Amino acid sequence: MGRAQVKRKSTAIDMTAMCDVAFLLLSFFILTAQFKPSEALPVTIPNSVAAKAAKLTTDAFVVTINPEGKVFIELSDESIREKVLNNMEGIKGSKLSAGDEGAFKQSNFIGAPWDAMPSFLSMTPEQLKKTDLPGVPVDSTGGDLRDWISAGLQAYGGDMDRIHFIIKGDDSSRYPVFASVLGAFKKNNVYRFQLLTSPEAPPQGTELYKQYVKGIKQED
Amino acid sequence: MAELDTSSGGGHKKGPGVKKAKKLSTRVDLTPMVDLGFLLITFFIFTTTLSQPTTMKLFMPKDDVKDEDLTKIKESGALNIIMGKSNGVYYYEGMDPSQLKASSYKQIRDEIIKKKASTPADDLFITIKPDKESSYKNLVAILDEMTINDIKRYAIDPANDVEFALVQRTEQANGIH
Repeated sequence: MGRAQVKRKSTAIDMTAMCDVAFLLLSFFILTAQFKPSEALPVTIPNSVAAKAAKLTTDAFVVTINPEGKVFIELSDESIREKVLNNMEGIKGSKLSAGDEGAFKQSNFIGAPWDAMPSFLSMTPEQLKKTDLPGVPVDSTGGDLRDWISAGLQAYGGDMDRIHFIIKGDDSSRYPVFASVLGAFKKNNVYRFQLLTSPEAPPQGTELYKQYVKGIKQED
Repeated sequence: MAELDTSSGGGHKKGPGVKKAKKLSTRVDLTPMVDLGFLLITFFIFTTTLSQPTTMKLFMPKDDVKDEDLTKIKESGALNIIMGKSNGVYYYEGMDPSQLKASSYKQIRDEIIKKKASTPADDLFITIKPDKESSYKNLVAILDEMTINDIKRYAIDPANDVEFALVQRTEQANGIH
């Protein structure tokens, strides 16, 4: 009896389609990825197991502590900068020139005492990188930082749920600076903060790890 | 896919002695290229998601609390963690700072777990005491331990003079500058 012979098929598969998909995905991810803007204030943030993603672009009032213990304010939300500045002018009782006000809206951060703002705002980004900036003064009474926080709060009508106070501290900055920053916030009756950290997986075998395995999420 | 017609049609016929040029396939093996593509995709995905920062919540109490509103702590359930300079960490149980013991950021978790296991849940209270020379990184690391070990009651309270002096003496004895 003649047996029907099974036709031998080639094992090679046409890879063209798969290659197309791979590179399509690759180009998609590269084009949608947002590049980190070059930071004017280099800060190494500590690691933590906190899982809540930071919202740094909208309604954020970021207080940065650099390795030397100087304090800066970053208002990444451009829409509130003008309001904050107007409130600050009201608190200090002195006005900046129109040119400086324009420069303020363009600048990414505040890094000088109020009296030195005109010379700080006249610096170009290259000059800012080279100069040893004085930072926003914080002393036992809160200094200028207290007033800036107050100005920030006023810009949101005192609504503490809408404005996010984020503290971005450097690994090597000392605790007393952090404590005085907290002091300046407390002067404005702000008691809730978010500390900016790099994410890290919960260590194995710990309480948090067990919750994580069970699928219990951390509270926000 | 379009394939080129390499056969010479309509041209002059080659003589019987002329060898025909071997027909080469136009297909290329794309497997290594696919490998490379997916390798790059995985690389980019892993590197981009890791750079997204997260935030840790911190609630601080008001400074002007009345005496009757103060949190009462049982001595048996108290654990004090003091952070010193050069990533040093010290702890003592109860109220007596002279019981100070040196530890490290790796070992402190075991101490916390031990204390947690030996005290009723409602009595356990950890006081985090950063001293003048401790760094912000240390504070975040200890606050993180609270989350990791599921500690419900803790507070930040700067180290007082007695504790600071003890830590300094220990640091000097251990040659930490």
